[in-house]
Amino acid sequence: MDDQQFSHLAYYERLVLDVKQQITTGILRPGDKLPSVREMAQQVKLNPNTVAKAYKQLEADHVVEMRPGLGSFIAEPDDAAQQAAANVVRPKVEAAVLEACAAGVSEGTVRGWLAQIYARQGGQTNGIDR
Amino acid sequence: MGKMMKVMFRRHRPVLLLLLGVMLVIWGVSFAEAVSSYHQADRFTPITVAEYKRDNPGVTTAEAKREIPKMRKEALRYYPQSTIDKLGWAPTGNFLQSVDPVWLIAVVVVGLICTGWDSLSGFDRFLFGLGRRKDAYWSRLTVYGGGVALFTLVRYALDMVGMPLAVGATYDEMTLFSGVALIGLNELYALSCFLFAAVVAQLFGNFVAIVCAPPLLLLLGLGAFSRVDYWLVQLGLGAGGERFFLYIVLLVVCGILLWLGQRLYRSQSAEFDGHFLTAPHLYWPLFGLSWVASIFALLDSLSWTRLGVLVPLLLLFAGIVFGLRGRLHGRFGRWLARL
Amino acid sequence: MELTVDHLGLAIAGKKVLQDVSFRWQQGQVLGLVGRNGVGKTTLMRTMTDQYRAQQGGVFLDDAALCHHPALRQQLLYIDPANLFFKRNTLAQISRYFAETYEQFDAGRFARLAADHDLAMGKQYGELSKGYQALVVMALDLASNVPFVCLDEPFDGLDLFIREAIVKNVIAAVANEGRSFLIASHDLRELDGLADRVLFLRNGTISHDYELESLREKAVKLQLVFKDAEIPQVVRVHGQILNVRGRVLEVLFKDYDPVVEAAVKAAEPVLAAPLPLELSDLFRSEYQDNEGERVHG
Repeated sequence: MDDQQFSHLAYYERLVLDVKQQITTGILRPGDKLPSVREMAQQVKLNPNTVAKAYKQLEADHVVEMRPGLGSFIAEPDDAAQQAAANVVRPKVEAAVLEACAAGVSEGTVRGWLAQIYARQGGQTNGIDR
Repeated sequence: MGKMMKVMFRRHRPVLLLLLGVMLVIWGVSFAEAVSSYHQADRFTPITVAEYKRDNPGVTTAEAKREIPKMRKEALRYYPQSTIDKLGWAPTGNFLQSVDPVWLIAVVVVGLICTGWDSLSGFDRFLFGLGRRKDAYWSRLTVYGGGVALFTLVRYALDMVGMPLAVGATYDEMTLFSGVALIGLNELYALSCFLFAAVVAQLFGNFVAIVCAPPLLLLLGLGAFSRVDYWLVQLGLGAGGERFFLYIVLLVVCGILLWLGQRLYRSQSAEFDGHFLTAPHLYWPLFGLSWVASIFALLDSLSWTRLGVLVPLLLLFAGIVFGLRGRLHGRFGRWLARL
Repeated sequence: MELTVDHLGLAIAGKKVLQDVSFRWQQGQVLGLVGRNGVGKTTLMRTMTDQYRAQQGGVFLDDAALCHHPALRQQLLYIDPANLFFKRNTLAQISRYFAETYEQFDAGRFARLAADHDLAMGKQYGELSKGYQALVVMALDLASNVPFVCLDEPFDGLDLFIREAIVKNVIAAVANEGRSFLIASHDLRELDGLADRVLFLRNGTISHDYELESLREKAVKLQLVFKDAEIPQVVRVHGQILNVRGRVLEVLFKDYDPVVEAAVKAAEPVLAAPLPLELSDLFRSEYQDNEGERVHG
């Protein structure tokens, strides 16, 4: 949430990224229960409607699933959903690489950046190698 | 409305109790003095049949028994001669008693202060926020009106019954002492003056009431009333009926004023600025006129030796100055605020 | 339930304080009310609750005008800090006044809230410190169970823990009970995360009504440095300069779509870094014209 690079996003977007990051770093595992909207709002000191919006987004992204009466839980990695997400992300990565080339950044530098970014993420990822 | 009465009563209870306490003290002093005056007067009145027969030879015992209470009642003419009453002027003849001016002043001032101090205050704003403007107005009047009415009734009862008991009148004499079957119109008049004061106080909050209403009320209660009464007597309307009618008209006028006051109160915003009745250009002439009129009325009926009335008048004046500070706009208001 | 303020107008001593104030307030929403000092935030709240009789317009609760249905005023509560009637009353007495006037008031809840902060019911309100007074007012607001609550500068002059307590109470009330709050405040940092929408009051009217999260999705604040001293057209037309420090410009783009983004890139900035968009930036953009002059009212 406090990560500088995301500071220009809307609060709910930051919260969504925060949860996703916690999943990739292994802090949250599939089947873990997320705090209720109220509890989360208290924790991050945000309007509950903002938190509700974030939870809805997470659900739409198939990252979190709502079990009626029980709460919100981290979803099992769903191959089909992940593939769909990957298809969305790939053009973004291509675009970034293109821009880097256009800016005169060498491939080696880009690979170095990737290594740093992954190192910062830490832990294992739940990803599927494509 | 009932709930509002409860809330209003609780809010004003300390003030009400203070008011009743002060009035009890004033009345208590007055009563004690009246009893002592009566006993003084009584020394000149025969109280035994034997004495009466001695002073009036040839009278039967039965006649004596009838006449003695009448004589004692005659002596009662002297009874409302307490120190407070001695200040009274403009006696209204013998309809019941002379109008008790100090009592009226006291009631009016108290009425203004009691209903005015909380009007348009934080408590009123709280009630407005509940949509209870109308209830606030009526419940306040009822609480105070009720208190004053209760006290008035008690005073009347004690005057009419307690006094005879205190001076040892017999059962037969008590009916003579009681005189008129009506509630003391003096007291009723006082009550209506009070209600009028309360209406004005509620309309404007304490400060305008203190400034504008007292001279009007002094005029109304003391000068004008007794003057009009005097003229009525001059016109030959001396019997009880016509002047009683005047009092009833007064009550009706008060009733209309009460209703009008309620309408104005409801239409007004808590910040009285912008309301035509409190617009400065209407306010100053009204203020000036009422003071000029009341000074004339006072000079007309008051001899310069009646210093006793000056005390409440000074209090009123102080109240005006105090109440005005910080409340008026414009240059005069700013100057006043710096006093 | 929805509260609608419709073309509210009020003049005090001949001066138009509220010109044409209109906004809708849904249940469960937290609205921020923001403006320069003296612009009329408190006056607006007082007019909404009939402490001042509105001269034009009115307040509606689901199409019912409050002036015609005064009993509905039970659904709206505003404790005016400048006109408290209960300064000399004890907490128990205050509780009684509210219990007898607001039908939904829960005296037990008020007692519990007071106990949570170690406040004895026999304590006189006026004797409490500023922070505790604020907590008492908050407790009254919560215990009233009124759906629409107006808060006037609830964070003013309070220490960090008390501010946090108030924020916590507001969040809990919104989440658990679906209560709605209209918060007039100068504390833009607290309002930032708390408010769904922020109303900017200017010249007696609501000049802007921002849904913060939606705005943050579209808007961007950029730190820009250009090669020349001249300010590019895209900045002048689509952006608003909030701050200038030497050659560094802080520019707010309210609608940073791909067209604007391309135009900015085309201007070849030496530096173009996104900065977090805060409520204070919006405040600056609202009350400061392009020449950097501060605007009043």
